[in-house]
Amino acid sequence: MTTLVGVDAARGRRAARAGWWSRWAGLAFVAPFLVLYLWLMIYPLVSGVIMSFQYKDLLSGTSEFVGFWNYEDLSIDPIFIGSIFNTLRFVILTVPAFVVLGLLIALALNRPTRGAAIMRTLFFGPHVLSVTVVTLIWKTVYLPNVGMIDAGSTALGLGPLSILLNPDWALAAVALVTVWWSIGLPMMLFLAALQQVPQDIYEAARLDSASPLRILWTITIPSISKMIVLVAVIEVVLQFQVFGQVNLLTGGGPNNTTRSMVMFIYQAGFQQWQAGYAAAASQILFAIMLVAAGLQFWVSRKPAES
Amino acid sequence: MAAVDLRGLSKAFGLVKVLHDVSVDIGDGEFAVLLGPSGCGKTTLLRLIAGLETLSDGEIRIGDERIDQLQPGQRGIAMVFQSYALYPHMSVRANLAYGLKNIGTPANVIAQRIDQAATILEIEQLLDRKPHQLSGGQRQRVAIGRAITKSPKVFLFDEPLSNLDAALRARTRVEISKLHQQLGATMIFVTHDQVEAMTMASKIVVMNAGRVEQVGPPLEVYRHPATRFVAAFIGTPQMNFVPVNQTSENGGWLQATLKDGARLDTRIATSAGHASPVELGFRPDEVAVDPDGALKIEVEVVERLGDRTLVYAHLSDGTPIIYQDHSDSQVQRGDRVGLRPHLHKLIGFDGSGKALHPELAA
Amino acid sequence: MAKLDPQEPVFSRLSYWLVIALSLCWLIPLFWVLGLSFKPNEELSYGLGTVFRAPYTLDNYSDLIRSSQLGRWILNSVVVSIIQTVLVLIICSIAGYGFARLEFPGRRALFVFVLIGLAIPRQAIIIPLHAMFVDLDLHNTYTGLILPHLGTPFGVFLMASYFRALPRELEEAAALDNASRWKIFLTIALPLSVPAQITLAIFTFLDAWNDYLWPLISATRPEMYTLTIGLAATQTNFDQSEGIGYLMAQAVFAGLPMLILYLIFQKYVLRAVAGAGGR
Ligand SMILES: Nc1ncnc2c1ncn2[C@@H]1O[C@H](COP(=O)(O)OP(=O)(O)O)[C@@H](O)[C@H]1O
Ligand SMILES: [Mg+2]
Repeated sequence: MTTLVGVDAARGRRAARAGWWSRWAGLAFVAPFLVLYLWLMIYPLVSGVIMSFQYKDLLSGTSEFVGFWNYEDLSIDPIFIGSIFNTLRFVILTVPAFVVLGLLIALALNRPTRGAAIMRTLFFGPHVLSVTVVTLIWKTVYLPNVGMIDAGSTALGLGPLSILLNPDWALAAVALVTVWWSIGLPMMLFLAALQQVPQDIYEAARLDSASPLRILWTITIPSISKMIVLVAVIEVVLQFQVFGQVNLLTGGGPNNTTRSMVMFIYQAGFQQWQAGYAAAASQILFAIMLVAAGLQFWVSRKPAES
Repeated sequence: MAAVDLRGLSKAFGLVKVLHDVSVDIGDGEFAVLLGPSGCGKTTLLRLIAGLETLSDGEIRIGDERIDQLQPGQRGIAMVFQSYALYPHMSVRANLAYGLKNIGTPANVIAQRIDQAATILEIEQLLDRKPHQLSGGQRQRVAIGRAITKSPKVFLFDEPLSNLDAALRARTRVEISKLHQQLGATMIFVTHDQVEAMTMASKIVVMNAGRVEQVGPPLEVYRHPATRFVAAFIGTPQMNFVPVNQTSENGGWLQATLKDGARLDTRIATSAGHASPVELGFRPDEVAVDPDGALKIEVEVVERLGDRTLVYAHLSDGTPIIYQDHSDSQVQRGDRVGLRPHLHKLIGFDGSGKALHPELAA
Repeated sequence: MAKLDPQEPVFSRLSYWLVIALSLCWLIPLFWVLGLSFKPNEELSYGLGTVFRAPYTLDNYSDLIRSSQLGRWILNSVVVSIIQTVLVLIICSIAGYGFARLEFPGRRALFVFVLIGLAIPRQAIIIPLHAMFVDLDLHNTYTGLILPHLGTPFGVFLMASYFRALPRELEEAAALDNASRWKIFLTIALPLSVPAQITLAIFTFLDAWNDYLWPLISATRPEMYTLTIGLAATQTNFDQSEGIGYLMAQAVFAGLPMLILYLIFQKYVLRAVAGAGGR
C-alpha cells in the first residue's frame, strides 16, 4: 500500500516549528484588527480623556493643562445643561414610542401572509435612507405656511402651525421624524423574538379559554420581556446620540430647545474649535450612556435574581 | 509496517482525567475495535491517535515512528467521523480530492485515486453532488471514500454506523469488513455496540471509565472475560450474577454456598491461590433446566422468540436470572423452576471484579 | 394570501387594520416627495398643494444632472462604502476566526478587551480622532473617511460568534487532510460563513453610506463630500435654495437607489437585522 505521507528527516523539525507557530498563529490572525482597534478606538478614547483636562484651541493651536476647568465650565454653561435636558426629553419622547409602537406593529405583522410581509418591508424601508434624505423629505412636510401640515391646518381654519419654529413642539416634531425613520429596527427585533415563542403555549392558553388580551399580557409579553429590555437599551443608547436630524431640521433652535448633546459637542469642537471643552462634554455623554445602559441591564436582571 | 502501539497514554481535560495509562498493541493490518459504554473515553483515545487532542502523557507509534508530536495531517492516518464531517460546500469529488490537493498530488493521480475509491464504494454516480443531496448511507460511503483516497496507513472510525438505520447498519458492517480485507490496512473502529465489535473485530479493546479492561479476540473476550465489567458488558442477554455467601473446597474445586443455602459446584481450582469469589456468573444459554438443580427460581416474564425462549426469573432473595430455553418450552409466569448451570462454564468474580475462570473441560 | 382567518379574534383583526392605516403614514411622505420632484419650482412657490395638479416636468432632474456635483458625491459614497465594506469583512473575518478557533496566549483577556469597545460611542472619540487625522493629514481623503470604521469591534464579535457555531469536526477533518490553519480558514470556515458575511456586509454598507457625523467633520471640500454630506450642504438654506422641486429631485435621486437596493435584497436585510438581535 502506497504511503503519501512519507517519513523524512526534516519532519521532526517541521513539526516542532509548526507547534511553535500554531501557538502564536492565532495572534497573527487577530493582530491586524487589534492594531486598528488600539489606534482608532482606544488611543482616541484615552487622548480624549486627557484632552478634556486641557485648554485646547484648534484654531490657534494652543493647548495647556487646566485640570477640571472644562468640567467646571460645563457645569455652569446653560447651553450645555440645556442640551442634556433636551437630549433626555428626546430619549423620553422616542424610546417609549419605539418600544410600544414597534411591539404593536410586530404583533400585528407576525403572520405568514403576503400582506404582512409587504408591510414589514414598508415599515423598515426608511431605515435604509440617510438622515439627509429623511430630513429633506420631512422639511417639506413641516415647512411653514406651505408645507403639508401647515396647508392642512390652514384648511381646517387653525392657521399655520410652523411646528419647527415652535419651542413647544419642535423637539416632538424631530422625534416623530426619528420614529418614522427607524421604527423598522425595533419592529424587526420584536418580530424575531415573537418567532421564538413556541406555538403550543398559545394553543394551550386558547384551550384554557384565555382571551386574546389576556394571552398577550400573560404569555406573549413575558415570553419576549428580554427583547423588550434589549430594544429599550439599544434605543436609549442610539437616541442619546441624536445629531443629524436636529442639526438639519432645526439647527438646535428654536431658542435652543432642540440642541442635543452631540450637537453641542460638534459645535464646540468644530465651529468654536474648543477641542478641550468639546472633549470634556464627550466624556460626560459617554458617562451618561454607560450609566443608562448599566441601569437598564440592572433592571432587566432583577426579576431573574428574585 | 503500520502497527499501532499505544504506550501509557493519559489524557486530562483540565483537572478531569479521562484516560488512565492506556496501553494497547495493534498489529499491522489488524481490525481493532474500541468497545465501551458511552463516555468511557473511546472518542478521546481515537482523537489522541489522530492528533486532534494533545497527550497528557505516554507515546504513540505507528510502525517504527513516533507520531504523537506530529501534526494531524502528517501522521498517515484517515478518520471517519461520527457526523461524517463532509465539507458541505464542496461536491463529493472535491471532498475526496481535498486532502490530496493539500499535499500537492498531481491532478491525474487524484482523478485516478477518486475513481478507484468511487468504484470500491459504488459511489461513481454521486461524485458531482453536494453532501446535502445525499442520503445518510451515501454520506457515510463518501466519508469512507474520503479516507480511502488518502491511502492512509491507519483508518480511524468513530461510531460510523450509529446514524444509520438497523438494516443499513448490518449491511455496512459487512461492507466495512470486506473493505478491510481488500485494503489490508490497519483499522481502529470505535463503537459502543457489542454486535459490531463481535462481528467485525480481529481484536477487541474493552474500555471502562478511561481504562482498558481487556484486549483480545472477540471469542476470547466473550468466553474468558477478564473482569466482571467485561463479562457483563459483552453478550445479550447479559450474563447472570449470583451472590456467593460462603466458599468451601470439594475435591480440589471450589464449592459455593448461596444465600439460600444452595450449594453450587464449580471447576474453579482452589489451589490457584486467588481470592475467593463473591459472585458466580453464567450466561443464559449455559444452563440446564433440572428440577434437582441448585438454583430455585420463580418465573416472571416469558419471551417467546420463535427459535428459542427467554425466561426472566428471580431467586428467592430477589437476584434476577435470565435463561434460555428451547422454543416449545411450556414454562409460564409464576412457575417455580430448578436450574443447573454448566459446571465448566461457571465463572467466579472476586471482590475487585477480577474473573476466576474454571479449568477447561477435558 | 391576504385573506383573514374567520376564526381569528376581532382584536387581532382590528390591530391588523390599524397597522395598515398606520402604514399609509409611512408611505405618504415618500409619494409626496416623489410628486414634488416633478413640479416646476416657480409653481411650488405658490404652495406645495399644487403638487396635485398639472403641469409636471422633468426639468428638476435634468438640472440636477447638468449642474450639481451629485454624480461626484455618489461616486465618493460608492467608493467609500464599498472599500469600507470589503475591508471590514476581511479584517473582521480573520480576527473573528482567530478569537473563535485559535488558541494563543491571552486570547480570552484580549477578546474581553475588544468587547469593551462595543460600549464606546463614536461621538465620545470624535474630537481626538479629528485631531489625529489633522496631524496625519488624512482629512479630505478616502482613507480619512474609511479608516475610523475599521477599528469597530462589532464585526469581530459577529463573526466570532458565527465561527464558534460551525461544527468543529469539519475543521478537524481538514486538519487531517493536511490543511494548514490558514488554509482551513480560507477553504472551510470562510465559505461556510457566507450568511454572517452577508449580514456584516449589509450593516457595514448601510453604516458607511448613511454616516453623517464623521464625513461632516472630515470631508470639508465639496469634491470630497459623500452623498449624505452633499445633500446636507444643499439643504442648509432650504428656503432660499434653488427651489423645492429641485431639492426633492435630489432627495429622490439620492434615496431611490438605496430603496431599490433594499427591495432587491430585503430578504437578506431583514434577516440580518432580525438575526443580529438574537445574539
Ligand atoms: N474537550 C473536552 N473537554 C472536557 N471533557 C471532555 C472533552 N471531551 C471529552 N470529555 C469528557 O471525557 C469523557 C470521555 O469522552 P469521550 O471520549 O467522548 O467518550 P466516548 O466516545 O467513549 O463516549 C467524557 O466524560 C467527556 O465528558
Ligand atoms: Mg464518542
